[in-house]
Amino acid sequence: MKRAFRKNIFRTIKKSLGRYMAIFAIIALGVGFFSGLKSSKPAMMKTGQEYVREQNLYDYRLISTWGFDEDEVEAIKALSGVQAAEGAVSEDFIYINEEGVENCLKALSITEDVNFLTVEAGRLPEEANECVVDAALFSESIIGQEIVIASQNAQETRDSFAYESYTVTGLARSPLYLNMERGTTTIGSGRITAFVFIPLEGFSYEYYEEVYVDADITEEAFTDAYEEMIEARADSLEEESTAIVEVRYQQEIADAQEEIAQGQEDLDSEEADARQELADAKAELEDGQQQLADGQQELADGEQTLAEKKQELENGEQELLEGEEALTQAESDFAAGEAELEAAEAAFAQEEANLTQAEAQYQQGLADYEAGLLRYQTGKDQLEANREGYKQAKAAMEQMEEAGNTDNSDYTTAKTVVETFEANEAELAAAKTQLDGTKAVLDSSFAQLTEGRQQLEASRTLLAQSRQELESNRAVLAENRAQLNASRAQIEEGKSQLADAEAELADARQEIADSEQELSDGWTEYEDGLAELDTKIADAREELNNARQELADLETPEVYVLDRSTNVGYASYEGDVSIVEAVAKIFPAFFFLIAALVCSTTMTRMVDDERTQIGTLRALGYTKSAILTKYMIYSGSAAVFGACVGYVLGTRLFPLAIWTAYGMLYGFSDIILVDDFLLFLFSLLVSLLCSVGTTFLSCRMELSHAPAQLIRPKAPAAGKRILLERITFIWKRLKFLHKVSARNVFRYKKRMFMMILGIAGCMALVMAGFGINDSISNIVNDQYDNILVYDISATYSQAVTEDALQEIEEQFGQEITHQAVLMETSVDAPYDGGVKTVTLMVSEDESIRECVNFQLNGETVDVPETGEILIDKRLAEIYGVEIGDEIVLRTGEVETEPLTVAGIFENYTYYYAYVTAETYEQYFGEPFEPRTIYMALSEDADHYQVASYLSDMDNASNISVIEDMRVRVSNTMESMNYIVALIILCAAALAFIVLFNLGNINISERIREIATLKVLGFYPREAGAYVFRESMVLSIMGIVVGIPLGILLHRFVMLQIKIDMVSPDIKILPLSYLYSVLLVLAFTVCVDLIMRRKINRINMAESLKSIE
Amino acid sequence: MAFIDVQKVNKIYHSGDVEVHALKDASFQVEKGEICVIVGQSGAGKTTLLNILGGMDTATSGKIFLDGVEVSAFRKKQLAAYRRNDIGFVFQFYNLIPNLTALENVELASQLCKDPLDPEEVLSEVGLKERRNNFPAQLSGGEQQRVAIARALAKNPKLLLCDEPTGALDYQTGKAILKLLQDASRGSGMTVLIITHNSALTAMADRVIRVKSGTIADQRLNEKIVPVEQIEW
Ligand SMILES: Nc1ncnc2c1ncn2[C@@H]1O[C@H](COP(=O)(O)OP(=O)(O)OP(=O)(O)O)[C@@H](O)[C@H]1O
Ligand SMILES: [Mg+2]
Repeated sequence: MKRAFRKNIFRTIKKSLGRYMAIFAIIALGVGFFSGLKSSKPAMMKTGQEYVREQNLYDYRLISTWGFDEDEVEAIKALSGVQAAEGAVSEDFIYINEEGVENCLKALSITEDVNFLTVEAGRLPEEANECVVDAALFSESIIGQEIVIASQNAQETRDSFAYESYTVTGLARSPLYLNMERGTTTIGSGRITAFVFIPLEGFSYEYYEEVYVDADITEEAFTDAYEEMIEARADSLEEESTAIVEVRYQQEIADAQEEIAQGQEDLDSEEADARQELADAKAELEDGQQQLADGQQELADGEQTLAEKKQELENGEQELLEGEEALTQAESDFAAGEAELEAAEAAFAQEEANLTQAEAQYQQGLADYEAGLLRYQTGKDQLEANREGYKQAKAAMEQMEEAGNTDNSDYTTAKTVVETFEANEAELAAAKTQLDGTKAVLDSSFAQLTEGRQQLEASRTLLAQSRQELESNRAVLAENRAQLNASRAQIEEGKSQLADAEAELADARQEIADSEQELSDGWTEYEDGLAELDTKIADAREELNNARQELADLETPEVYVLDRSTNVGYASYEGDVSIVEAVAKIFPAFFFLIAALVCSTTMTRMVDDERTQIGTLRALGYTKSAILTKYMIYSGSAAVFGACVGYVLGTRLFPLAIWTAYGMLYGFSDIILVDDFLLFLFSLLVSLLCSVGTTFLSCRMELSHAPAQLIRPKAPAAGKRILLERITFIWKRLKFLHKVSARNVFRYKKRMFMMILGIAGCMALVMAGFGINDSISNIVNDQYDNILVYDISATYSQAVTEDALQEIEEQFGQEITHQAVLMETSVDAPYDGGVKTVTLMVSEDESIRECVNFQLNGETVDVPETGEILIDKRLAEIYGVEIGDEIVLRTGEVETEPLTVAGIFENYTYYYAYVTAETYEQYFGEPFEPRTIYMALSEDADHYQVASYLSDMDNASNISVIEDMRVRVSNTMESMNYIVALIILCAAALAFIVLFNLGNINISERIREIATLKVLGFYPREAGAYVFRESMVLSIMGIVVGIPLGILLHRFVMLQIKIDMVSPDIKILPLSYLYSVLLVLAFTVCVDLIMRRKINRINMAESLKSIE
Repeated sequence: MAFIDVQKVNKIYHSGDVEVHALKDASFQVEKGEICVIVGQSGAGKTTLLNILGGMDTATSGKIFLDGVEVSAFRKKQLAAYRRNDIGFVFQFYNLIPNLTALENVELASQLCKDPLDPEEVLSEVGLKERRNNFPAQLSGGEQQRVAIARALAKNPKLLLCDEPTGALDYQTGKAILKLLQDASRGSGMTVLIITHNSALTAMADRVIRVKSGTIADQRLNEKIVPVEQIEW
């Protein structure tokens, strides 16, 4: 029996492989879904735990108000229960990336014993001026480049670094940052974009800021046991470490006290010294004063003497002048006398010469007279001689004249002779007179000359006498002159002596003046010095007093012990990975229900098919249980295989797909799969229950009939009128085959239920899948089309000026539709579960409402008053606050005053809040500095062109085009596609399984009907439609049922999925309904096509032979 | 050429390694309007022959002509059209569609072909006017067979093929069924082929074909046709 029995089972399986596979597949699917979802959280948990352990994430993080020094870290290390303790420092700084965009980075010191880095590319730093950077933000191309501490950083920040730039040696991940949250900072934009790890030596620090402690705790991370242990040890650790730091406190107090005492002492002695010095200076000054007086006296004396001397000299000079004048007079008199003498002498000489000449002239004249007289005598003789001739001529002439004979030569000659004689005679008479006159003159001249000579001789004697006198006068004058010159020289000498004396005196006077000045300066100096000393002493006293006060006020060091719950990545992890768990609760139940239905219908059909065989076997003596066993083994084995395959695939595929989807948040390592034997056992048990259990239930009924009854062919299920037939006007219009289908649909309730449920489930899954996609991808559109309406956010390093706005207006007045100036900063929002980073918008500009839509459910939210805040829906949910409640935010470590929530607005990505400038200044205690402009652009504007212009403007620090952000967010969302794909895959599997199963059952059950129709001349298409109209109708019914199910399922799933970056907007687009319906119909048609081939293969001849 | 001309038809079944020669060079002719009864032992190949004739199966070799058209050359689609328009079938086990009423079963067939008879009329001809709204399960075997015949007749086929129409019926009912077939043939000149184990029925036939292990053992015309009512067996 055993062998025959086994063979029988094998043959049955082979013969009805489709059915067997249906059971196998639905069980595999159910188990896969169940185990996959169930094991996803443990797998992710395990992955997290493993990572945290491998990277030795700190257990405690100690922060002291006093910092820690090397010895203290050592002391903490030596505490019991501490495995490792390591000091660390960190500093936030501004970094300008290659595109010139300002980023805030956090530089942390590399720790050797805790928080191991994983190097994703490159290597760890070896030199102090090297670093590794955040693998999440940087790409490998950064390796080898420099991270420069930008000049924009405060001096203080730059001083914290030992170098100005650090060479990037690799990309790394740190367990301190499990997710993508990098925290906030007080510098720059307020949001830290990435971390940079630098060797400790790369920092310049005095004390460690914090100490990371690795406690020897054996419990796994993320567990309650771990938390309990951590909490249990925290207090004692705090006490012990405080005690350690307190030692330094005591030492410091003692040092300070000593220092103060020393200071007081120093001050006192210093004061005494200074006072002494001043007194000395004063004595010296007084001395100087005396000396000055003496000097002045001396000077006065000198001046007196000088004046006297001067007077004397002046007198001498006067005398000299007078003497000179007299001398000069005498000299000029002398010169005049001399000149007179000389003139007299010259006149004398002239007179002498004249006399001599006159004497010579006289001699001459005398000679001439004597000569004349002679000549007269001669002339007279001659005339006398001629007188006769004349008397003749005269008579001749007179005769002729009387004769009137004048015209002949004789007359002329006679006339000439007469005339010549008469002329000569007159002439001689004239000469005789003249000569007598000359003789008289000559005689008078002679007398005169003799007198002149006498006079002249007298003058000569007189002249000689005068000259003698003159010469003696000249000698006297020369002597006087020499005497005068000597006197002058004497005077000149006196004068120069006097000048010297005067100069000397002037010098002395200057000296006196100088020393007077010096003295007065000395006095002022002295006074100043005195005053200075007083203030200095007062200051020093105050300083000392301050120091005393400070010492008195000095707070005792406090050490805060923080555990991992303050690490955002760690704290969010558990909550985030728990999402799937909730989803895992409802899916499997549904799948197992369908599995049970599939098994049940399949096995019922199976038993029906083999009815005669069963009857025969029973007739042959096989027991009921033996036969039941066969079917139970049949379905049980399919279920076991299915459970195994489903478990293996499910526990691998699901965590993998979900982890991939989580990759956008936590991509720190590969998923570690967890195998849970209990889970498998449970899956197997449920599978067996679904298969063997339903088999037992459905077969027992059949088998309870008597063998004889079984052997006879089962009466074909009775045709029944259905409800639809009563609606005659519809019914009448139906074709017969439609009627058949309609009746068939309702004939087998279990199958109908299975189909509707299966297809509805498939539909629901597909809708949920598409819906997840819609809800998430729609967020991006909603967020950037309806909420953040602006297209460009431009941030400058200084407050935006009117000029800049003017410039933008001129350049892009056409393109910009709305524009608002605001301050955009990041603040922390601490809540029970951790800390969220919130983008705080601060503005006085009303037009911000044109750039950001503050809306809730279509209603605009009012502007907040002072002390009020608008927060987004997500933040409100996290805080669990409503309008009118108060919240507290944090900037850096400083908490704000409580702010009243005045309104809540819609938002899907990140977190946003809005306050007025006044509120900001009052409640956040920082100045309002609007450095950001939001700009909404017209539709056809080139965003990038505007952005590039803006970034070229002065002080531009960060220009972001929202389009980029939209792309980034939607890229992140894309990893959700893995989950969507997985869901749709499962949905498809579900649809295929139920459709195939129903198809198989229907065909096998109606093989005779189909054959008959074929014989009647139905074409294959028509024959196929006869069967598939039914599955089509059921599919449509399933779809109809599936739509509300899908809506519910989608809502449920979406409520569980709370991704940090976005909060989904739960909605399914109309198009997705259409796609879902089409997809499910496509599944139906697909199975239809495959089944049609099976129908085509039905052999009419054989099928009609007889009823088996 | 005769209305039905079967020439040297062979049918070989391959079931696993075994070859079953179900028909061996079977040849016969039937004239239009004749009632032809095929007799033979179980397994002789009667059903095989009828199936091939009716286009439900194809011959391995040989030719079959119906009304001058070579049926054996038909492809699947043509065969379906052939069954639809030219052939009426009556099965041993009725093969009614259980989810259709008697009338609907008839209508189902009549809707298929070009020149159907009125279903209600046909149904009243077979005497089931009153039961036309009953489902097959609500009818007796004979009534079901009558519905089946009505379904076949309603198509107004050229050839009516009946495979042991009385096999599952009692004597009286069987007789009534046969009468129905004879009337149909006589009334409308329809050619009818009836398979039966019962040699007595040969009396009502115009032509009797005897099949013996796949071959046509004998083919003869019946000189003395006896109406069904008078046949006793
Ligand atoms: N599909 C098939 N596969 C193999 N052999 C077959 C098949 N159909 C029929 N046969 C064989 O062909 C032969 C003829 O069978 P067929 O059904 O025509 O006989 P029959 O004359 O109708 O017998 P019966 O009066 O018992 O109905 C038989 O030997 C049968 O075993
Ligand atoms: Mg037969």
